[in-house]
Amino acid sequence: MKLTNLGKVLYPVPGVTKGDVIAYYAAIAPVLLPHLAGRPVTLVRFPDGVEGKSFFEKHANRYRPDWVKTIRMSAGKESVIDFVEVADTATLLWTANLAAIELHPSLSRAPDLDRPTALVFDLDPGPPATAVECCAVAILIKELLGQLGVECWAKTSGSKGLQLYAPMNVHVTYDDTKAFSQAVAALLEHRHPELVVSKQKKTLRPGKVLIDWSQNDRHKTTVAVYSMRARELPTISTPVTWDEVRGCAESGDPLALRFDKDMVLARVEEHGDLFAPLLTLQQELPVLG
Amino acid sequence: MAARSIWNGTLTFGTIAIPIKLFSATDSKTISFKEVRASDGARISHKRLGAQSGDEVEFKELDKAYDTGKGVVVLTKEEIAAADGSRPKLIEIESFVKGEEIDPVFYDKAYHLGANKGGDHAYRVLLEALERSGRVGIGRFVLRSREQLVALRPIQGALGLQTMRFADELVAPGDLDFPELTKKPGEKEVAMAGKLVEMLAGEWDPAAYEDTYRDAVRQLIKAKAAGEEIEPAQEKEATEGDLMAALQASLEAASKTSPSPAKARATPKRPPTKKPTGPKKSAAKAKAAAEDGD
Repeated sequence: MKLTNLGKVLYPVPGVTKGDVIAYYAAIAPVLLPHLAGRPVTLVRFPDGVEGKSFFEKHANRYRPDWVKTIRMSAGKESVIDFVEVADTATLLWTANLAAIELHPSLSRAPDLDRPTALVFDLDPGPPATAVECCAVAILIKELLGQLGVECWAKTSGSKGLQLYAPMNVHVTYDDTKAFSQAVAALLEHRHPELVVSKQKKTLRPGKVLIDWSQNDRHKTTVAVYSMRARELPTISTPVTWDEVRGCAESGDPLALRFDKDMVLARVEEHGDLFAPLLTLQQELPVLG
Repeated sequence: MAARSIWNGTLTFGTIAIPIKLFSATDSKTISFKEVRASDGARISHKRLGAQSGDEVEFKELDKAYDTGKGVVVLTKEEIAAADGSRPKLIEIESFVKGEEIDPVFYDKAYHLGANKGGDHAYRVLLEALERSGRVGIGRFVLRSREQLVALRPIQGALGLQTMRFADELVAPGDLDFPELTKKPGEKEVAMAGKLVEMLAGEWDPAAYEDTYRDAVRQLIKAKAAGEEIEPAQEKEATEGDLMAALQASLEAASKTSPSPAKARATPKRPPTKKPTGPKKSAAKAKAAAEDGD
């Protein structure tokens, strides 16, 4: 494989080049790859950098090297999509070389592409709400799930929000996880109407946090843990501890949980993979009623 | 609607033959969409691809395969055409039955018949005779290479032809195992239901019913063309309240039964957070898939 245009600047403000992006993915590969293996991955490519045009690439690029593996997923009645499977470092560097800054895996893992391995809540703040309010809502969700015996883990979206994942890794359907997560969102909106909304509108509600439950869907993807984000700065979707989430909620500092690629590599050195439980922990979805 | 006939031929019964032409009696108003790519709106074209080779296959290269369950039989277009025989362009009416004996479930697509040159008089006589007798002609004809069972009957003041389903194409309710059909309801309840039906009795007025879905889609297109944003409908909106109530009940039950988390975890052991454990998860997944059996 030949890496190309390594000097091309993809993030203009800090002058991060494609070579830097590839180097980050090479360094993060040991903790990132287990979260991508077996999953159809949608690439979000930014050939002209984060300020240029981008496109979502679901179909594995037809000019891919023959060692790039794919996962076939049905899409509608008669069509299928061959997604890239990013299970090894070489493939990860190949996608990085395509300027696929963001990686968005499915919640399903082959061979069972109809079932999610985790439940996800995507918390999105409507300005002036920030990550601080997201952290407050994340704690409410954690406590509620905890009462039902379900543990969850948090990561930053790498943008403004926070995402909570509850590993399942057992028999559970998207219908189940979607209904359950919607109920959680609705109940928290009912209890905390000043802070939470659960219904997606075209514009976010000012000062409130949207608990987006709709990503618990076979056809939706959420940005991968450790994926770079195509924002102004090379921020990363970073797993965080619950102490850090509480700290952010209390400090009122919306930037407390903003991590760029170098900070994330240092964190992995220190903590290992905070998201490792997502890979193996088996939890039952509580039966409602 | 185009007023061109779609078939010309002869209607026969006994010794009488009437030259006729066939028009569609219905006009589908379904809104048709063109497919585009979501990301850039580019138009989509469909190609036939060989399932294995991935090569494009042209229409003229196609044959038809039928899976008998024990193997696949491939028929060429010529062979299928031969199955039609060389039927003359005839609608042959074999008998006239009482219209009310035909359950509407048998009726399929409707056509209007018009008289072709020299058939006007016989056409009018036949129409009049059918209207007076209340009888419906049953016959066969071949349309688009398929033999059709048809009913000849007056439709809106003209001769009409309606294709019919064959008896073996109908699904009997008995085959569906409806347990509610096995018990006889009480007389009182039936009388009560009968009263309700009477209260809602009305005249059949087809114009009173509109395709509200089609209207909604048209509205949507109009709004979007005018540059308005469309809010996607929320899924399962109606059941949201129930779900929330169910969750609340679960939480209450959980807090009553024990001070600590109520539900035992399926596997209480937590993996170490230091290192990702790659192979394990795929084993767990494989197990799940095996149990699922799909």
